[in-house]
Amino acid sequence: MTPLQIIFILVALVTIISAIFVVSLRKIFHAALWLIVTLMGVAIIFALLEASFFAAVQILVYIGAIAIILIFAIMLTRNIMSDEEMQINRSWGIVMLLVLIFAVIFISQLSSSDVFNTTLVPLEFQGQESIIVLGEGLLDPAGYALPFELASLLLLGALVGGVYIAMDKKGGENK
Amino acid sequence: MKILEFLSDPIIGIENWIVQLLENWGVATEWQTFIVYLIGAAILGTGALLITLILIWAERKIIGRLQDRLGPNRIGPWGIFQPVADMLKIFTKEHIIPDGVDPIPYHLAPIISVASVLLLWAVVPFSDSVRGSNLNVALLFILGVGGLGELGVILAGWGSNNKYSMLAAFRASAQMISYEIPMAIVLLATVILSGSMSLGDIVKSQNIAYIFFLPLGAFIFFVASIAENGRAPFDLAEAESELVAGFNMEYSGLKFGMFYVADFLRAFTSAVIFSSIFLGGWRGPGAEQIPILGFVYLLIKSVIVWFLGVWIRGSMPRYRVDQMMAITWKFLTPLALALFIVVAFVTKLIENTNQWLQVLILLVINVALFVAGFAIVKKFRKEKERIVVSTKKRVLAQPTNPFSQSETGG
Repeated sequence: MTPLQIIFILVALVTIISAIFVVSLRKIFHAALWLIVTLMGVAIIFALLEASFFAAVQILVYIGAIAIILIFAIMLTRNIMSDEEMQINRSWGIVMLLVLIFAVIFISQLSSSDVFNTTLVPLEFQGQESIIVLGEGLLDPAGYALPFELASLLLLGALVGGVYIAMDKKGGENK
Repeated sequence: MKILEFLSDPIIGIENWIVQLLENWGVATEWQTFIVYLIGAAILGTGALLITLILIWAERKIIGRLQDRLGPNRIGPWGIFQPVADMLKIFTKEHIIPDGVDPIPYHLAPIISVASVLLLWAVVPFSDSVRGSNLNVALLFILGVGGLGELGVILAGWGSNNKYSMLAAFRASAQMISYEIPMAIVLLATVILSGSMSLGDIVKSQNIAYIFFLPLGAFIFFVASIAENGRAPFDLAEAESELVAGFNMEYSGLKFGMFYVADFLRAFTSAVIFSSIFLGGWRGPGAEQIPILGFVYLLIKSVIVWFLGVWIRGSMPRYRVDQMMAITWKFLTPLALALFIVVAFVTKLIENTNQWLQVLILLVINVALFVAGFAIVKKFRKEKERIVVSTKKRVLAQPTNPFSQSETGG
């Protein structure tokens, strides 16, 4: 076994276990913390796949922004330190059944797919080239320019919506 | 001759020696790389932490001189062993865990704080060949790791189960998130100039240091990095009159020591990164032939930048919360955005001209933007508002009327 494989197995285990903690812990704040561990694990897996741009963006966006905002939201809206919720409601049995059925279907269909027979080849790009190729792919009209711009439009829409909700509609009192 | 060659580039020499040794022992190539990187990381981390000892002493001494004091002067010559004594003391201190802390965040926070600083050293190029990792997204990495620092602060504030810690953590993380934005935009401008996000390439492309291309950018980055580190004049996360001691109030002993070390090390680390991005890092006369000179140049540049930070810390009063927020959102961020747009256009226009001409044009643009920014701020500055907090009348207890009753019964 190479060191990379050992690191991969460790990181994958940590990622999966912390992902289980995210959905099974009672304290919602702890669940958010474990979510950060999961995201970090995914970032390390990106780094192991030589996708350093995605690893950095994963840390920057998901941990640096989204997880922090999540924690802020939890801190500001819930009672400090005493928030315990049940994860299940009355219909857990039927949901479990449905999930099992879908899992069987998915696994039986996916296991015959040839995705599992692919082998990884190392990237040919050196240094900056992979990022340059990614940028060109995202902004090239023949590439993914349209989905990229649509995603940015979606984010802009979300931003405007957020401002609208937060805005003081009567426009008077505290001005 | 052999010794001279070794001395001119000792790190690579030692690395080659270790690789040779491992090869003789019959270790596989992958494991050789792994072990060499592991040793390198351990040495780099330990070295960075040991530098902190000197930094703490130097900072206390400089601030002491700035405030017309002597600073530490009892232990050893010029008090140079003071941090060693402090360290030994902090090791032996009792470690108090307050009641009702949230154990995981509480114990994790100091570790994350120190780790987020040490991680930054992984991408700093010390010479042409010696660096932790030539990451091709080093600038994004720097910003992302800054986000981890925020996480440490929030965890400390939350885990302590104390409302003052919590308030200070909110303040500190709001400050760090806000100042990351102008910082990121300025970093984008340097990416435009160098055509690369790797710190190694950025340093290599600086035939003329970027501070001459982007003096305004360097200024914004410097201010933002001071604020990001939470040092004076932006140290309002630990304003003792309002928040007791900041987010690390409930920590004692070694855990407090870790926050303390992270604080001092972060100041120096951001100086190192500033000098790598704007001052040409390891570059200097003869640094390419004799790599060890690169260390010396980087150290000199970093110490100068770090000293500027300490100087500011020793001489400026603290900002208020609203002033701190106004500085980033109403001044630095718009200025950085304007600078970024202008630099993006202008560098494309003058792409093929002489480098000195480029420097001149960008320098003029920077100064013009700076002056315009200040003029706009000055124009829209309001007169100081004075808010009357209370109008309750009180009768003073004066010696002439010791028995008089006030309206409030006082």
